[in-house]
Amino acid sequence: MAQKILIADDSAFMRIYLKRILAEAGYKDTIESADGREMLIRYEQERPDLVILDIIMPDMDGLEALHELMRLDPKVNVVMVTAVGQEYMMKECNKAGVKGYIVKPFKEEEIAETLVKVIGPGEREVK
Amino acid sequence: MEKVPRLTWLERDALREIASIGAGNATTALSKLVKRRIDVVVPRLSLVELRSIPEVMGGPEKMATAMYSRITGDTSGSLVVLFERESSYLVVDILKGNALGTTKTLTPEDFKSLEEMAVILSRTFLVALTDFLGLKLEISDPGVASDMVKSLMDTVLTEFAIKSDYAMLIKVEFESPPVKVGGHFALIFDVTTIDRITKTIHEKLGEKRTG
Repeated sequence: MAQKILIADDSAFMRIYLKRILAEAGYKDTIESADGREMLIRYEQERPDLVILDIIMPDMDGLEALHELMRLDPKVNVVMVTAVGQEYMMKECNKAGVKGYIVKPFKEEEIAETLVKVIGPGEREVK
Repeated sequence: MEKVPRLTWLERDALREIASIGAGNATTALSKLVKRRIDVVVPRLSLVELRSIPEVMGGPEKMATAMYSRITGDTSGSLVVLFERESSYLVVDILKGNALGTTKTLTPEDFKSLEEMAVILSRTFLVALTDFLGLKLEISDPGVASDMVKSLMDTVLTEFAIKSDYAMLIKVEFESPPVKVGGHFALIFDVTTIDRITKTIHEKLGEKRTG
């Protein structure tokens, strides 16, 4: 069964961009949310295999959302994809249990490589 | 006169995200410099005519401190980092490890500190942008001045012989409790560059730009 990935980022551009990268890597089942609060609702509804989470977001930022998400499901797979590269933030996210931390701007292959490590390879079409 | 380019909401969103990446990376560099946690609030981006920048900053006679650099390479332009004067005093206090409120006027030593910070802030901001957009750009060592906003902008435009009529203005708030400092990054590019940037945006989205 195809892995389902939830992309939480306040930028529509970034969500579409990540969706394209994921599709090319074989992860075609993606859902989206534009802030932390919406991400939590979508996670409960859809129970995706992995969450890609931004930090700088309005309403509920990624860090607060991460802690809420971990309370909801301590086994959730989260990969942070954010422009915040400060050490304290990386430490806090790692302590919370994230499986990956990618700093924007990223190389497209970084995304796929990290996801492969966490949830295994995506489904590639055989031509 | 060049017109402020008309962008779709998605192109604007992409520019805001690119600005956010630049600001996030610059904040990381700043945090390392001052050895304290700094958060950045979601930046706001607008495309504005250069002549309207003083108004956006609170009026032409508003006192501010500017750190400005020339951009060369695939395109030419300028990056101006603007802080209200009082905010720049707080920045100096943080940079020098002073008690907040110590700085009441900028000394030559303070300008030097701001210049060092501007080198790191501007370079990191631009590197993040160029990495993301695949542009080859270089940035000069910054000049630092404190004056009325209009005078500061006139200095930048004259010194760098800027031909463009508008700028990408990014409003950023840095927060390091108990301090909250607001600043602006003004990226001054020509229309051709904005066109190139939007082309890259569409390529990243896996689509070809029409029209």
